Amino acid sequence: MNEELEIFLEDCEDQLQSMENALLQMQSGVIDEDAIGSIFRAVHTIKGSAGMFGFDDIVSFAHTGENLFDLIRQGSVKISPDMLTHFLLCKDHMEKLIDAVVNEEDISPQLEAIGEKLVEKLVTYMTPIEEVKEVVLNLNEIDDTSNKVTSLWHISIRFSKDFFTTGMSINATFNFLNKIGTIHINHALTYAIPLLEELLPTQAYIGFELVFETSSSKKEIEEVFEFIEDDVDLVLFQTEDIEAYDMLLQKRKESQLKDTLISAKLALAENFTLELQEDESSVSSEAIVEKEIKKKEKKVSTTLRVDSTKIDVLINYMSEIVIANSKILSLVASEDDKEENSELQEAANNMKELLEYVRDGIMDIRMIQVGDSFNKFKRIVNDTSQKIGKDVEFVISGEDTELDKTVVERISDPLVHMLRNSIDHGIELPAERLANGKSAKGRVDLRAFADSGSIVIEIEDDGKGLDKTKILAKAIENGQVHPNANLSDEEIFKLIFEAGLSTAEKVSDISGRGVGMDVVRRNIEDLRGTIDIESTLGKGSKIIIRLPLTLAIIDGFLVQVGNTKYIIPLENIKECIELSKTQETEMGSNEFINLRGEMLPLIDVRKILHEDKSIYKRTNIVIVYFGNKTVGLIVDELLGEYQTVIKSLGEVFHKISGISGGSILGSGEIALIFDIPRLIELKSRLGSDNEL
Amino acid sequence: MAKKILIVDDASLIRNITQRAVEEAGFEAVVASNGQEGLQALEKNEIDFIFSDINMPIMSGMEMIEELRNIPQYKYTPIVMLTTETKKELQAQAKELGVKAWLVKPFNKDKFLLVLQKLLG
Amino acid sequence: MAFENISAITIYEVEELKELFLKALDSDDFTHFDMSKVQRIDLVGMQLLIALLKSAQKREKKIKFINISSSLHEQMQETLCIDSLGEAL
Repeated sequence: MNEELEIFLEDCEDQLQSMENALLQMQSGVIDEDAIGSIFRAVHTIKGSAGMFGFDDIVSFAHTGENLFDLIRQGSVKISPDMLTHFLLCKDHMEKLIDAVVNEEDISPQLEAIGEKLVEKLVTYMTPIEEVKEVVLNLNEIDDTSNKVTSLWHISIRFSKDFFTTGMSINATFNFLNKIGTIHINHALTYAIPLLEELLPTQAYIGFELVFETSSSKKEIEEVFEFIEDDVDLVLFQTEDIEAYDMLLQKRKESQLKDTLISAKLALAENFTLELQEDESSVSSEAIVEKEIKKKEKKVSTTLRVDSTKIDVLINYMSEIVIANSKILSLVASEDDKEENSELQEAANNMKELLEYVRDGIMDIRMIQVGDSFNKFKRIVNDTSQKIGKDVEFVISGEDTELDKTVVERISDPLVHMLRNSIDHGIELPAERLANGKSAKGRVDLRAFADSGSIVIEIEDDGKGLDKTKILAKAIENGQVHPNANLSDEEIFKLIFEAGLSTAEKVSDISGRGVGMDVVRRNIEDLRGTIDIESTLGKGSKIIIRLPLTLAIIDGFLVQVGNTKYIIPLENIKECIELSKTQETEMGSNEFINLRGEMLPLIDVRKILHEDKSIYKRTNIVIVYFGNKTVGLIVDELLGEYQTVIKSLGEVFHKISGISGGSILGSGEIALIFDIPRLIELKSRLGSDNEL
Repeated sequence: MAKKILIVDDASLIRNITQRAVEEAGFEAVVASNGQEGLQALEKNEIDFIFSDINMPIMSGMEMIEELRNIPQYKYTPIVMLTTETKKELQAQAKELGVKAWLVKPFNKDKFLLVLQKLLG
Repeated sequence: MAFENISAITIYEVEELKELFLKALDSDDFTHFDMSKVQRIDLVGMQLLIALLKSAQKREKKIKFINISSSLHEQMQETLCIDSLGEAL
């Protein structure tokens, strides 16, 4: 897919999304001008940009929808619930059409047939008068396009100063153009007209920019201007020739042309890649100069679309720089003559700090608000609950929480699955709810917020909650849990994330049978996140997902165990203590120590990862935590804080579930990164330091 | 009100073709066979558009245009030269008089109809 | 202002009208332009009106064009730059 198409697709997705939001809002009973207006604009914009690309199928489909909403806007057609449902279908159809053209596929006959049916029904919503017009219009369109292939042209017209004195009329030319094709847009440029004081009255200052659709050739279009060619400065190109837009700007040297073209829908902002060199002579009055300055100021804060792979490349380099800098830092630190190197050391530390800023800056580019993604779920919740006859209020909060783009994308499917689960298994049918003294309408909350270095996403419903006896019985039946195991509530609830566990009595096609929740958990763990569940029988359930802010770089703490170096993510570390001789003797063969009156379970890294016997005399404990659980890791040597880049490990390490990745140290050595959440979970599950 | 178009040419064939085309296109045609007749027609009628030959007896097209540009009413009236030649000096002279459109003879009625459409919409 | 003798704003009149409007701009009375007598306008005339509005704006003056006949309005629309007259209509 080329870049322009990608932009087109992105734009369309945005438009479709706002259309859907507005439709759903109206379906929930809030019908206002804003919603109607935003649907109209969305259809209109899609039609416009599809037109620029010559996607006639989309244009003609959108055209009908646009007309309908125009009538609604004018108040001559009333919105009905039936119409809204139908329009949601139309929105889906438009999505399919866009997908097809973007993937350069032909529109299938089936899709075409669906489109025709949808249009037929759309037309019935319009008043009879409009209907007739519409049919005529469609016939005309079919007549025009059936035998000829048309293309879209951009025509830019400027005149010689004395054009008007020749008496020739440009309107005659426009009329003729309309005979050999259709002028879709014809925009008069009046910005070059000076103040009255400076006006040479018969001189031509005006210009025109047109979008013209025709089956005629370029030569035939040029010939339309044959009698006025001496006085007309013509720039003619096909609208698909994206580079031509920049060339047009360069040729015209008019400071306001670009913005005018964009605002008049004669071009997409993305058509222009070059900044125009200001031509002083074209700016003829102070007012215009002021306006220009204001526009420029505005531009500073506007957004810039960048291919995300470009950022990924930057991050990759950034990672390498971080590694290289670590090496410099360790070299500087190891110099014997500290005195003489103080300046070098200072410079190196300064560099480290600056690199952190740059790193954070680059990472920040990748951060997007979760709102857009969350809003997409409204439709799913709406559809799902309607399908199974449940009444659900869906409440989103924390839309402005930012998360790495990749994380947002990859979290989307698991969230959809969990939302469906909440509605299908959590929320009861209205009658059942009433019988239990609840309101008929159920409620599902989707929340996002930042919490101590990670992002938390919660899905909470006020449904029937999880039945732990059922879950436990099923898990025992499946052999996943020993019948005598003594599990906490939380541990029992977490069993629903195991494969093959579903207690739903009735299996529906919405959430199926346990398939998925284990996939959900795996997806989230792949993102270095965790998932927890809280539930009260009869009151509802809450799923809590914790995700790291970013995927690529972590601040870690470097430790030595046996011959290997390990990195513990700094965010998981509570404190480090040296294991005193007394504690060691006290501990004996137990796997816990008494720390300030609390029992601290221990994991002996040496033992579980088969490290050689330590050559170090001291034993240290790094106390790590995740959520509300704390564990001590027994390690040999503490080597200090370390900023590190996560590199994924090959297949060999795949099965070691306490390790999330590896990293190359400044010295070139390899260090393994601990997956603390996983480690804690294993410890509490197995209850002993079995080998991983 | 239909636009009035003046055609000035000494060749009756051209006058015939153009007159029929002009009328077919829904305009009113006024014909003259030389520059002097042309000026008289301009006086009698309110002309909106002029097609004129260059080489004609009694008064040439250029002379006629020079004269008519002095009439305030026709200062900016659009003119197309009907000609068999496209000499550079002639074109430069015509430009001075605000004439830049040239239609090269010969042409048939259909071609002239198309020209009318391009010029008059 | 009525500008009694303006019946057309076309290429034939614009030079004269420019001087007329410039003078009028200095007068405090020039807040509107009664176009009831105007029968014809062309693209050149529209350029003149747009220039007039630009000058008026510079003087922080507002001018309204009033009593535009439907036929004149149609002619204005044909020039395609009627939108540039903005609030003056």
